[in-house]
Amino acid sequence: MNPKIVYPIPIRQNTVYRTLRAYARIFFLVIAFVCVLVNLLTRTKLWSIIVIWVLLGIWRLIFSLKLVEFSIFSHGVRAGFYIVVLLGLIDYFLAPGWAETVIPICMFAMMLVMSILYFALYDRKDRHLASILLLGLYVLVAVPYSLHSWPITNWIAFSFLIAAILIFIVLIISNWRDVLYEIRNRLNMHER
Amino acid sequence: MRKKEYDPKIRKLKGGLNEKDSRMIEAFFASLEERIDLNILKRNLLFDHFCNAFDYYLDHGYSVKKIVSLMDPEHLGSFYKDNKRSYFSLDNAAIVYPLGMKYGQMPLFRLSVDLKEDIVPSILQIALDFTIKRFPTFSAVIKSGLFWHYLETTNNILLVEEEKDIPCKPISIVLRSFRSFRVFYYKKRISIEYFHVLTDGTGGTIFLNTLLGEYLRLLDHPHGYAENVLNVDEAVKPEELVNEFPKTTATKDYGTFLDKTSLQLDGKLDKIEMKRIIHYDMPIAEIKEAARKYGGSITAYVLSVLLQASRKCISAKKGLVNIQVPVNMRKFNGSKTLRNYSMYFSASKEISEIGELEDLVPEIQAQIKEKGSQAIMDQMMATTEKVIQALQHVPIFLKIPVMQIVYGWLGNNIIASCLSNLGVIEVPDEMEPYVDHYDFLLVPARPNRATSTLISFRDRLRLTITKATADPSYEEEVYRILQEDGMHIRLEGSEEYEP
Repeated sequence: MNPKIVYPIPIRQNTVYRTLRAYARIFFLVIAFVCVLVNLLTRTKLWSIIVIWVLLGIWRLIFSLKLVEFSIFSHGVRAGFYIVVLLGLIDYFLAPGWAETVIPICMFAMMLVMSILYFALYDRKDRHLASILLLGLYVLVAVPYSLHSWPITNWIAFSFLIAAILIFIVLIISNWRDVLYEIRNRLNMHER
Repeated sequence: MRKKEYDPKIRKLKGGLNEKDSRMIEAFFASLEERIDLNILKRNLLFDHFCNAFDYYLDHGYSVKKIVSLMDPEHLGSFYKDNKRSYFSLDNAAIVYPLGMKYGQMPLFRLSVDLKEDIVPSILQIALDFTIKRFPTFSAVIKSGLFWHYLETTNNILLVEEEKDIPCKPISIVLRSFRSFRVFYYKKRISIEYFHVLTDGTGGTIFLNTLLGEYLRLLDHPHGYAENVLNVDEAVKPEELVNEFPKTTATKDYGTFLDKTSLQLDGKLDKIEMKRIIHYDMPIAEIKEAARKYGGSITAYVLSVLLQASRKCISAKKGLVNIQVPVNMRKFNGSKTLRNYSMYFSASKEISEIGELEDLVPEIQAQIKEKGSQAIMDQMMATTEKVIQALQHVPIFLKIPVMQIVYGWLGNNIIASCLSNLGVIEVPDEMEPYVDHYDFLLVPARPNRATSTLISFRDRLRLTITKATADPSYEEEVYRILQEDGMHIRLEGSEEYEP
């Protein structure tokens, strides 16, 4: 059977990422297992949870990219989520007392950077609004948490969160039509 | 005005022309400018397309007047001006694809048409720029909602590319997240690879034919419109955008999609999903005659040949061999939808009982009649609708991991391969002399080792087998059986692809 070749000889396939991904999966699973084992045997603080979260974060951010709607924005918000939770975990399991201040600063910084990028890439707003809304949601969730010890409140943290919310509100007001449209779409509120 | 005046490409175009022609070109680009509201990058890209096409036309002796009439920016409509976004729910068949999608696996299919002359890329690009507005769901991107994925229209500029790679490779999301299909050219061939969320084979054929019609019109060849060659300037018809699945009138549902697992062809799966493509090009008359001899349709005959070949290429001695057959639901109710509207059934046979074609063809024909009947298909649609309704309020982040497992199990392990018959492709008489043949490719879904398609044009039928393994015994066996049955086959295909 000798068919006439009617397809181009393909360019050389780059399998580096695929190979790395395959090795990383095994490597990460082994590391996670060993860490949990050592952590349990040594009966120290639960640092293995932090290791597992880091591995999961690396896996999701480098080796398991979003297949739908991948963009700098969605990736940035995803990375922010993993970082913020990591800070929370380190604070809770290893060295308490600082994340309450640091996390709101991180959220403010993320909101600021995302908003600047959003307005800079304004004509592609349709692709990025959902990521900003998600980030805004994270910030809104953080507010009640920052007030949990009221009236002894961490005012630095609270101020940064309020600043992040203000940026978010400005963004919503300046794009309210798009925001409403986006929310309607994202909640699948159209008739099937 | 400044932007237009100083556009170097337009100035270059006007270079060797007389004043009248220069003025016509200027007016042409002014009219083009009026029809677009894009950022400077996209605007320049679109201008480039027209400049490149102008270059081609001028090099080939077309008059400026003729060029302007062929490429009149009116054909763009308001597509690049109107930034309105529209929402489209995924149809019931498409809904599962993004949920079950994994890294490196994307449900794509490819339709191509081979012409009798080399493709002119710059003209094909303009044809695409003009055609896309007629197919709003094709110019859409897929997005995630809280409960389901959905399509949202965009007016992104789509580019035709020279074919250089393995067909149906997953669309790179990192660089090109905005596309759900892509258009290639290679020598005399135009190929379109569709993400299955957009459409099925029938909708894909209509888009390809419409693009071809527009391409031929731009080359000033005779062209015409028909049911599957749409006029790109006419308004989009609502019935083309309908999700037909919920309209099923079945009162009883099918029960379950679960089926017994199928044996798989032997052979080690490679890192890449498509290892080789083989086209068996043969006269329709011969295959019709063979099918008639055994008392079946062409589909029943080819299914039987594939089952016979499978018997030789599966080392297991017991177990079912299932071949999935998609059924175009439009044939039952004449729907005009351009979205997915197909159901499927499996033609099955116990491996130890796969005998000679004389016995096999009538049995498979009976299975097609029974399992592929409208009543059964309607029941399956009712089941699909019921499942979707039940999952309506489950958040998408819960659906995805479950569907990845279920879809893999349902979709792939219960079949050994698939045979999709797109039937006879008809184009208006004016277009026929320019077309040589059509091809249709599907990618085998893991763990399937092969998948097959049938497509006919004029007096030839093309059976295409795409393989996921290097072992050639299956396609050789199919070839042997067909040859022994008197078929005069012309073989075409690809080299063996390496990862």
